[in-house]
Amino acid sequence: MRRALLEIILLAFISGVIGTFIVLKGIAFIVDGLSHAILPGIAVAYLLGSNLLTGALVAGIVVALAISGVSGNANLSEDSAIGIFFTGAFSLGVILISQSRSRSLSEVLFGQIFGISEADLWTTLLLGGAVILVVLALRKELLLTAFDPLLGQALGFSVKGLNIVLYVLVALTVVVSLPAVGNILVLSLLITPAATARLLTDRFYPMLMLSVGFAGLAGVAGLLLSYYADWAGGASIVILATLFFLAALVLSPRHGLLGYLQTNLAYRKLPSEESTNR
Amino acid sequence: MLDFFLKPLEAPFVQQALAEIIVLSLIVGVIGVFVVLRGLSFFSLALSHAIFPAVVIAYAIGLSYLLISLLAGVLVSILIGLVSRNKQVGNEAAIGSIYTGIFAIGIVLISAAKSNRRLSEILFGRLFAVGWDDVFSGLIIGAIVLLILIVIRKEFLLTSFDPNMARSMGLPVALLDLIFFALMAVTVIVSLPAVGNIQIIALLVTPPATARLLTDRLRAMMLVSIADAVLGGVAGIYLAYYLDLVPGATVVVTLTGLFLLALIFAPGKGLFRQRFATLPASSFHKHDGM
Repeated sequence: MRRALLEIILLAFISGVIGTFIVLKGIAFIVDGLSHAILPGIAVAYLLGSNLLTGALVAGIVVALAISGVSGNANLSEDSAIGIFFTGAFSLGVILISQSRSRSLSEVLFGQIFGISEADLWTTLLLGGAVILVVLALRKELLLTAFDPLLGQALGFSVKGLNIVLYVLVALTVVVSLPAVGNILVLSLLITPAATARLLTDRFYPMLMLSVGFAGLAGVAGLLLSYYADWAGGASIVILATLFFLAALVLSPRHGLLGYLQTNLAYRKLPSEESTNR
Repeated sequence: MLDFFLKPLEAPFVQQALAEIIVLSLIVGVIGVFVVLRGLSFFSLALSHAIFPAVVIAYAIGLSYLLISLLAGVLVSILIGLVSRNKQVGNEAAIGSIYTGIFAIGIVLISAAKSNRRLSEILFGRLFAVGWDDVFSGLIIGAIVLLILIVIRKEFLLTSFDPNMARSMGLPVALLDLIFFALMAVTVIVSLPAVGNIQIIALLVTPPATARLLTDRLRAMMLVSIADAVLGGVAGIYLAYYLDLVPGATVVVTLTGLFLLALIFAPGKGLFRQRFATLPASSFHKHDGM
């Protein structure tokens, strides 16, 4: 239990930080695709007896390159390119894993938060720390290309290069989170707390902190829920994170439903003032 | 050689799998063209995961899962549509947050029911275990889906490609979208027993995308995508039969392989042609001061 708590708090820091960039850039689908597409890498690494992390990372990079290559030139949208390559890679992974018959597929898919080992914790700490350092070092470049890719290009940044760096960081984050939450629900840990934070603030650093905070809160409360109510661990965390998101969606003073109704009603009362102000 | 193709046909489970995949190809080939042209892959992934708790509940209380999952699919479409209107959240984060949340509810439900076999069945399907009743329900539901698509095809096309124009002509765009999402949900539900809820995305997206590389016309695109789905499906089943692999996954891998072939060799749009066609033009542009 103590190891599970530690792991989830570490993951909250990593995914809260990188999730902020994912939400700001609007690349949830590519993250989802990457988290599924690393399956064949894990399977091959397992069959060869080499490091799972390396295998997953190689597969993640290959698929990221394939997606950005195809959506760049053929007349297909990025959305379709992601759909094609992630299902293809995922199915390859399913075939390989079912051939190896050694590691249970459901473990990779859903994780085992209460089965975290000491080695898993160290991996999370070291790799996660590296991910956070790189992201924070590159924060200005990443933010610029997220909000204004053309300006970024004009200033001489390689937008494509930065995207690939971000995808590699995302792949690393996914790999680190796999033992705890599995590859279907990791998307939620990455984007839901960040999207919740986005509803509550317009500034970058508060968003970063809120995002980490919500991820940590959902993580710890979800673990307790799963411990006492005997629910699946990863799923409890995700459900709580989604509830926080829905609450923010309704209650957020500026961007929530209540705020929206309030301003709209206020404008309706003062139509002339509103038109002169805008 | 002929024996290679005929021998598997003697086994009833291969006959049923082949019939099922051909029926599914007809439906997804047509629906998938709209999914690809409108860029709805992520949305269809969300839909296929979000009806998961409904399927679990339907199994638990012994009701037909078709109606419940259809209801769930429509509700989820509405929810995602509403949330993604919030500009702060954005379309992608809205889809991702909502569907993972609903999917997690399904996992909690299924772990409470302690049936892991059901879980992997829903996630991956069991193509070699579909029965004739699955094939027939696919046939009937597929016919209904196609009929609806044919009857309101003009309205669909207009709302798909020019929603503003459609709105100004007085078409109920939101309602038409909802009907389309419901048809997508039905397609996903019918395909679940065969391929499961992750690989259905490949069936929906990969054949139409392959067809998109080969033709620019809508009707031709539908025909090519049906043919491609049938080809990939049959080849995948033979592959699974002879090499003893997971059948749904082999179908997806074959389809991806066909897409890659089209990507490289397609006349006009393939990588080879494109390199030759665009290189002089782009270098010319650069000299132009672009």
